[in-house]
Formats: sequence, C-alpha cells, structure tokens
Amino acid sequence: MMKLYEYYNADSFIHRMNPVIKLCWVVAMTFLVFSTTSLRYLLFIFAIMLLSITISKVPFRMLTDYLKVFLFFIIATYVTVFLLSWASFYIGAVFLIKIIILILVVVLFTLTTSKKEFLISLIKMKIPYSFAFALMIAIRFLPTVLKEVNSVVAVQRTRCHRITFNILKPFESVMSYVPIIIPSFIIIFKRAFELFLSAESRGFSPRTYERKKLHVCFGDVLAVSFLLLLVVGSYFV
Amino acid sequence: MAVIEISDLCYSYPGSKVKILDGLALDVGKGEIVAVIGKSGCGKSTLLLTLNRLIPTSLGGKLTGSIRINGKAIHGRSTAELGREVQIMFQNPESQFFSFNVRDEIAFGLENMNLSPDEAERRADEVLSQFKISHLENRSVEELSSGEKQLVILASLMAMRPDVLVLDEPTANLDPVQTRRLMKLLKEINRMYGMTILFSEHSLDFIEVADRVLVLENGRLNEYGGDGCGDVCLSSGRQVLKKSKGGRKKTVLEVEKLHCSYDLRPVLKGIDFELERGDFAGLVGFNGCGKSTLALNIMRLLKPDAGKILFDGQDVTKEKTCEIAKSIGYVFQNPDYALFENRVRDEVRFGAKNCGIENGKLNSNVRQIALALGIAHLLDRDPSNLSVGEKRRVNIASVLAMDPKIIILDEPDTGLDRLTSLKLMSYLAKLNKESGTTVLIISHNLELVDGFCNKKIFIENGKVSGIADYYARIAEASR
Repeated sequence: MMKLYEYYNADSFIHRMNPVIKLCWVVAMTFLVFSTTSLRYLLFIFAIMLLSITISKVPFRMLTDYLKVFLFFIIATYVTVFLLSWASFYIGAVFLIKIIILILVVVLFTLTTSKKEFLISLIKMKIPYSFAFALMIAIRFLPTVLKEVNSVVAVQRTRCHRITFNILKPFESVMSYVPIIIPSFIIIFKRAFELFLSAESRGFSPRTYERKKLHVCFGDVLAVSFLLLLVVGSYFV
Repeated sequence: MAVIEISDLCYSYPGSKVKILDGLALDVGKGEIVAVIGKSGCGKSTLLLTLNRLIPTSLGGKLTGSIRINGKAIHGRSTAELGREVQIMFQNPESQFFSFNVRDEIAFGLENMNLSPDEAERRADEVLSQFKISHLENRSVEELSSGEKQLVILASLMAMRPDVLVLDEPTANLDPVQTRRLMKLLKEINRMYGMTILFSEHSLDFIEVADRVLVLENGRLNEYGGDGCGDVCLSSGRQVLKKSKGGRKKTVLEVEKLHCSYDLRPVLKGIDFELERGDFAGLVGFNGCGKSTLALNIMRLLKPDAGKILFDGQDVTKEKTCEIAKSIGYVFQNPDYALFENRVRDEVRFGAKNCGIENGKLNSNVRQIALALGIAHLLDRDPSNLSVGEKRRVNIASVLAMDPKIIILDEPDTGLDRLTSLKLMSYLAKLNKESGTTVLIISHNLELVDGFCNKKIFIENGKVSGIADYYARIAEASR
C-alpha cells in the first residue's frame, strides 16, 4: 500500500544534505518545471533526476511504485490534452514529463528526508509553528485516523447499518452518515487529547525544534550552485 | 525515605461537585513497587495524573492537599519540570507516539530535556540495548505490534531516567506472555535503577509484581486484603459450564480451512474449528496471532483468501455483513466505536431496527435485556456520559437486541474492573444457559477463559493448536 510520507533509510549524499536546501530544491524544481515549455530542457532535468535517484541509493522500484499509483492520472491528463487537437501532441508530451518530474522530485525528497528533518526545515524557513506542527501531526496521525474510521464503519456494518447515497433523498443520504461521523469524531478527539497529555508529560516544547542546528556541508554548496546554474540556464532556453 | 508523599488529597473534575479523591494519603518509599487497584471509574488514573500535575494544569478541576516528590512539594511546578522526576505511561501506547520511528520516539523526551546530542545518543543506545529493541531502532512506529509499541514507549520514558515511573493499566493490550515479560522487565528496572514504580491495574496476575497493593475506594486508599468476590463469580461460571455441556448437540458454526492475508501478510493459514449450540468458547492466542482477523472473517468484514464458514450448515462466506449480523452478533473491544445516539434506549434499538425487528417485540426485548444487564436505569441517559463498563453493557445490549444465535465478544473485560467483568461474564453465562445462545469470547484474561469457557481454541502461527501448548508457553514465560 502506498504511504503518504515514506522515508528510506540509507547513507547517501542526498540523505546527508541539509533538509532546508533539499526543500529549496523541491520548490525551485517545481518553479522551473512549470515555467519552461522546452522539451529538451525538461529531458535534461529528467536526466538530473535519474542521476539524483542513483546517488540517493533509493531503489528505483520504490519510485516506480509511486509513479504507478499516479499512472492513471498521468495517462488521463495526456489523453485529455492529446484529444483536444492533434497539434497538442507536443504539449501533451511536455505535460507528461512535467508531471513525472514533479512526482519524482517530491517522492525523492520524502524518501531521503526524515519527517523530523522536514519539520525542522519548515520551522527554519520561518513557517509558523502552528502550521508546521499541524502538518506533521496530520501526516503522523492520518493512518491512525483512517484505521479508527474504518473500525467505526465495521462496527456499524455489524449493526446492519447501510450507508445510502440517493440524490433524490438528500436528507436520508446525509443522515446515513451520522452513525459513522459522530463516533469517529469522538474517537479522534480522544486520541488527540491523549497525545496532548503524553506530549505535556514528556516536557514537549516547540522551542526544542527551533534550537536544532542544521549543518551545511560541501554537498549542499554544490547542490545550491548547481541549482543556480539550472535557474540561469532556464532563462536561455 | 519516601519518594512520594501524598496527604489529604482531594480532587473534583471541572463542573462536578463529587470528590473523586477525598482525603487520600499515600507514602511510597524509594525503590518500592506499588499497585493501585479499584473499580472502573474509582479515580485510579486521576490519582496517577496528579503526580506530574497534568491534573490540575491540563485537565482543570479543583485539587487540594499536598503532594511531595523527593521531599519537594510539586505545587506550582510545571509538568515539564516534573518530567525529570515523574514519567507516566498511559494505557493506549498508540496515541502516545509523537515521532515516526523508534529512535526518534526515544529521543523525543531527551530533546525536550535539552540534553547534549552526544548524551541523548548515548542514552538512546543504552535503553535500546537494555530493552533488547535495537533491531527496531529504524522501524516506523506504525509497523510495530502492540507489545512492541508498549516496550518502545516504556524505553523512551526510561531514557529520561525519572525517579518515579507511573503506569496506567500497562497490561490492557498485552497477552499473558507479554504481561509476564513486562513483569520481569519492571522488576529488572526496579533492581537496576532502584526505580520507584506506581501502577494501576485490573489484572490479578500482574499485581504479583508489586511489593504493596492498595485499593482505591471512595476516594481513599486502603491496603488490599482480597475480597473473595471473584471466586464466587467463577464458581457460578463453572456451574453453568457443567449444565450447558449436557444440553448442546447441534453444530452452529463451522470454520473450514480458512486462509486470510492482512496487508499482504498471511495471518490465517488453514483455521479449522466448530462451535455447537450452547457452547461458551474462548478464542485465545498471543498478540498478532489473528484472533480478531478470524472474527472479522466470520462477520465478513474481511474477505478470506480460501476456506469456508458455515452457519447452521449454510456457507456464509459470500454473504454480506448485514445478513450475517442478523445471526451472529459481534461486540467490538472499544465501545466508543458504536455509540452515537442521544439516548441509551435508541442506541440499544439501533441494530435491531436495522434488522427489521418489529417495534412491539423490540420494546419488550429492550426492557428485558436492559434489566438483565443492569442498565434499565440508564435507558434515558446520554450514552457518551456513561462509564466504560456501562458503555460496554450498552454495546452488548444493542447486539443482544438483534437476537443473534451466536455472540462474539472481543476482549470483553477491556477497561472493566475485575468485579464488573465477572458480573458481565456471569450474565453471558446465564444467557448461554437459558436461551442456548452460543458465546465466543476473544480474551487474554485466563481467569475468564478458564472460569467460563467449556471450549478453548488456541491460534498459533495461523492455525488452531492444542490448548496445552498455550499454557506451556505462559508457564515458560513465567519462569
């Protein structure tokens, strides 16, 4: 099953990079990919991505798993663009490569950056604590929440409850979700409160993460320099 | 010297005038292991939460009296500051994980203590090897079993080296073997660090680890003397068992060569067993062996890979859950999953109404079941305001109102004190005897399984094994 945020533990140049710089790479790549229409430039970036994946020691299979999940979306986009006009064949190909690159950039970032490093990098980039923590807790707790909601659905099914969806009977349709929604909310609030108590009793303070120091190594300098070259290069293509 | 000194402690929750702790006094010496037992809702967890001031700082309410840790009054100190002296492990390890992998989780408390990175690393390595969980170091917390989760949380607390370790019902999710492992571990921690340990518990086996057992009743603590109540309930259970043995004949449920995978991992690898009408059976096995998976297959909440499930001789493997639920009732472990109505009466009627049971019959059924389960006085109350024991009885009542031929209960004693769980089991035994309803309980509680079940099904490595192996494994873990 695909995970929302998966980390692949390895010792590589990319893993050791400063997470803030990696995050800058993701943002810059997104910007570059969307700002260009040159197929040659995109293929060049795609080649860089393949090189980065090799350096990162992340198995290609893990990335292709993600691509497979998005394959339907990718093909649907391509077909839609292609069907608009024969002339848009070229645009379709460009669009397809853009999407693949974006997926690879984001997935490579998550696979080589632990969630804790991601959190610290968000805080270092002056993202407000409330937003950064909400995001991380949401990622951490999404599987738990889904598990709890599935359990509630299972319980109500054993009580012969049927969820109905009938556009002609909107009130009945909405009401059929009540036995799922109310217990789910109660359970999620309880879990959140337990987490709060646990964090409090272990002396949690967001300041702990602010104090964390992130080191910049030679590899980071190299990565930033290369990124600048790419940005400058995009101006000429 | 006493590490914990409590005198004249009174506490009432916000908006309530009832004093859940009322003049409570307690002295716990250094290196002592103390167990606190008592009925569900008597205030055990409340008492534990006062020790690091989560009560009243986070939960509010009115707290009076004095608590001293290591001779210093805790009044006016923050929970974070007290974290160096007192650490609490809560009942549900699932909701205590703040980090994504085991090492980060262990480092979490150490980072909050502002230890130098080298010292934090050293302590994390130390507990990882001490708890023999070095192999889990880089594992995601989501992938751990419930026993491993508990161990990781305990390790993360121990890394902070508190003077007092507080545990709230630590065995709630553990099988008998893991319970015994935890007992050994606590003894070792206590011996190695001279750690003072205070815990609340319902399991009779587990309180053996304590030097002293205290009973919390009417807001005060008394020394435990043993009330003998459990023996009475158990003997009545055995009587039921003898009688029900004579009456049963017909096979109601047959499971044949059932295979099922969960998350691509084969969990059930050819389960075979049968239940006869009037059986009171116990499904036992160690954490993660597939007991709940089997029950979910029977209810068709999971799809089997292969095999058959026959109810009254008819294959129900391809039936829908809603159809199966009319004959087989399933009571989940957590009562909160079901409750959503405004009144207990409506909650009890919900399933039966969905089954199409007509109103007149349903009303009289609800009255009878409510009386039998001792919830008749709660019928007009809001279910969300009930205690865990009451909620569980409401759950069972709502399943019984559907008039099932078989009732399956997943860990029926979770969150219940011993007396309440024995009362509940006695009711099920009565129902089993009088109406011939087949009962299948999934439980780690040997007292309930041995006392009430005439048939025991032990699942190990995805198959049904001889029950003697189960007891042998527990005996081995106790040594």
